[in-house]
Amino acid sequence: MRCRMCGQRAVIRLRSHNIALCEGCLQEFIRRRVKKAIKDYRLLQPGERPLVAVSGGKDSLSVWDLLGELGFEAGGLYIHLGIGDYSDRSEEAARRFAEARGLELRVERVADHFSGLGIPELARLDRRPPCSICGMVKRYLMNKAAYEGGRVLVTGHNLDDEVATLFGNVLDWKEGYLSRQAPRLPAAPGLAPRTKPLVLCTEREMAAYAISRGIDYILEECPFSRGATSLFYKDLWNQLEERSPGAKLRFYQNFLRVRHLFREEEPRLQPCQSCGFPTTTELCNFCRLRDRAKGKKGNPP
Amino acid sequence: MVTVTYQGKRYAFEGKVDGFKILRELGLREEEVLLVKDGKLLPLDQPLQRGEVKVIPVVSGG
Ligand code: SF4
Ligand SMILES: [Zn+2]
Ligand SMILES: [Zn+2]
Repeated sequence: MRCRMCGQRAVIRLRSHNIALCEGCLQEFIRRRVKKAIKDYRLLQPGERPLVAVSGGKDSLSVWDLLGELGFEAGGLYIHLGIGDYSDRSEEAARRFAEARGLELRVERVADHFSGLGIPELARLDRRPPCSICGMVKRYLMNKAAYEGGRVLVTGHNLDDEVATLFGNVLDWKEGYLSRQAPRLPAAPGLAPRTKPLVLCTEREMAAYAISRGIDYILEECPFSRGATSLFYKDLWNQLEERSPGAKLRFYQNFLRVRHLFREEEPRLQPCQSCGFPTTTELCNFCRLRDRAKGKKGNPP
Repeated sequence: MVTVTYQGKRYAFEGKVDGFKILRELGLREEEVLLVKDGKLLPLDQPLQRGEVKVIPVVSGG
């Protein structure tokens, strides 16, 4: 197997692009894919300052690395979820990465906002699945940090993530979700713009990029992700991709061409009476949960 | 002999082997893993005699 770009011995073949690449050219290839996504979908403007939400995994650390390579002054945000050793080890990975490169990393602890409780305890308290609490809390803290810092929020969602989400939304024809599934969501009052520069790169391409760049990411997964529907969809899509290389990319890119056909009335947002961030109710979910956690601890609400 | 580690388990391969054979034997698809030898990406078509190969899953969930 020879590298398509330079003719040296290739280390990986990418069937969806019908090429094989050596290590150096693989890195260049990924940089070009990210540049293409940024340009085609107007994900970042020159001068915008990204804030990368990092989990310690391959995608978020790689997107942080890539944005630096492309000349953006990107900071990182790590959210410690309070999920046992997993959270401590992933924080370590994020810190190691930032320190080795002299990058600025901000760390937020869920427990600091919820009277010492982490995601598992909050889920029990609110009788909701951990991932639903976790998603809400992460979205809130990421948006707050980016909004207050005048940054564009960047997440490491890759093509496989987007395809799994899109597939789930198409199965139920969730028009509202389909209308909002975009690689960049614009700023709005109280909301920082959000963008996903890895949407044209597969999960395997990103793992290969991370390994070839010597990025020391954690392989360990959040214990609550076991059995997630998204993993089942990803498995289905890997079967499809094997039969029909490029299927993921076609599904996603063609969706973006027809996305404007899906419409939903915008929910009416108002500022939360406690924190001021946009919500559909008087008190936002974050503040409501914060008050509940206070009561639980015997503190006055 | 080539030793392969995957999800905490070790597998031994004797005789002629390459990455494609390792994936076949472990029932894995090319899209869902990478092979790494001595910290470097291992091309699937490279014939192997000895050494340690790690199977790195690339699919993450949640
Ligand atoms: S899998 Fe873990 S990190 Fe992901 S949303 Fe669920 S609880 Fe949060
Ligand atoms: Zn090359
Ligand atoms: Zn609020």
